[in-house]
Amino acid sequence: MELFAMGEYGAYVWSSFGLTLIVLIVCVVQARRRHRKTISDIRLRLRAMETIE
Amino acid sequence: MWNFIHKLASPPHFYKLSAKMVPWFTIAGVLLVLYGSIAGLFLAPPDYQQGDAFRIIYVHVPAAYLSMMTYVIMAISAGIGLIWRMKLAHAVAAAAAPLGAWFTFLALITGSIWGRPMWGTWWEWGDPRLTSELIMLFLYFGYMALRNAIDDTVKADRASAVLVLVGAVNVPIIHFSVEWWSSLHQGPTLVREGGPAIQTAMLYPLLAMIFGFTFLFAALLLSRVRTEVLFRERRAHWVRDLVLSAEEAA
Repeated sequence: MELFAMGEYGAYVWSSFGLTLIVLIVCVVQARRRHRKTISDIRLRLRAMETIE
Repeated sequence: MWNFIHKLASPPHFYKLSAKMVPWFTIAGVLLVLYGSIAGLFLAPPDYQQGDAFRIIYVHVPAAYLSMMTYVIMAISAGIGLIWRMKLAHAVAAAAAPLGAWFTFLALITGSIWGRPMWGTWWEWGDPRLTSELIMLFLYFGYMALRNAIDDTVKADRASAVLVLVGAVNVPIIHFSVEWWSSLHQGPTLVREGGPAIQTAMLYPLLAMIFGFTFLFAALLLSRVRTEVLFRERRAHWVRDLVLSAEEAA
């Protein structure tokens, strides 16, 4: 476990890496969600137009 | 050549081609970041001054570099969009902004976490490097707020492009801040006269992280541009066909 201790700086090093991982995951989730939402919005609009016609 | 560029800039072609590129960029990014993290955390020797705290460099530098790189990409895209009225260029700028904001946030936070044990403070108001990076975060926020406030896409593109270009003066200020003024922040490690001032066991993981983050960024940016293109082309036939054939939902 010595390896993971990072001397006296464990809290600083691990929080930096952890936060970076979280931000990257959030970026991926945001991008996916937005893509799905855009597609479903466009589909809804097309369906609405079909019913009017 | 022009034919190729023209074809690439055509929205349906871009949409199809980019779908094939995203997984490769993601794989390359994940592999490089995995190697960089393991080597940076466990294999590189501790710094003779900073001990193990120096390992924060492996996330801080890629984040800081991408925070500026994203801004440069946005400024170039916005410029191309304004001059040649290329729609895809505006889409790139709009898609990049949230990523730029996230990387800037990350650079500021990891810098702050690094600063606490090394400088004895989380934050120093008035420090040129810290302040100019914070200003860039506000530029990203301003850009996104401006786009949100304008419903018409064409008008939003133009107004936000002007904002990005005006704010671009901040990028060289960030880069040279540590040379022009006295700053708590250490000087450049990699891009400096006389080559990188870092030993190879520390350097290789850092390069891997920088390239890995760049690949991940490219994958994220392409994905976001695809969404942006779809929205902008929502009235086009190819989007209608694509959306109504429900298989393409993912």
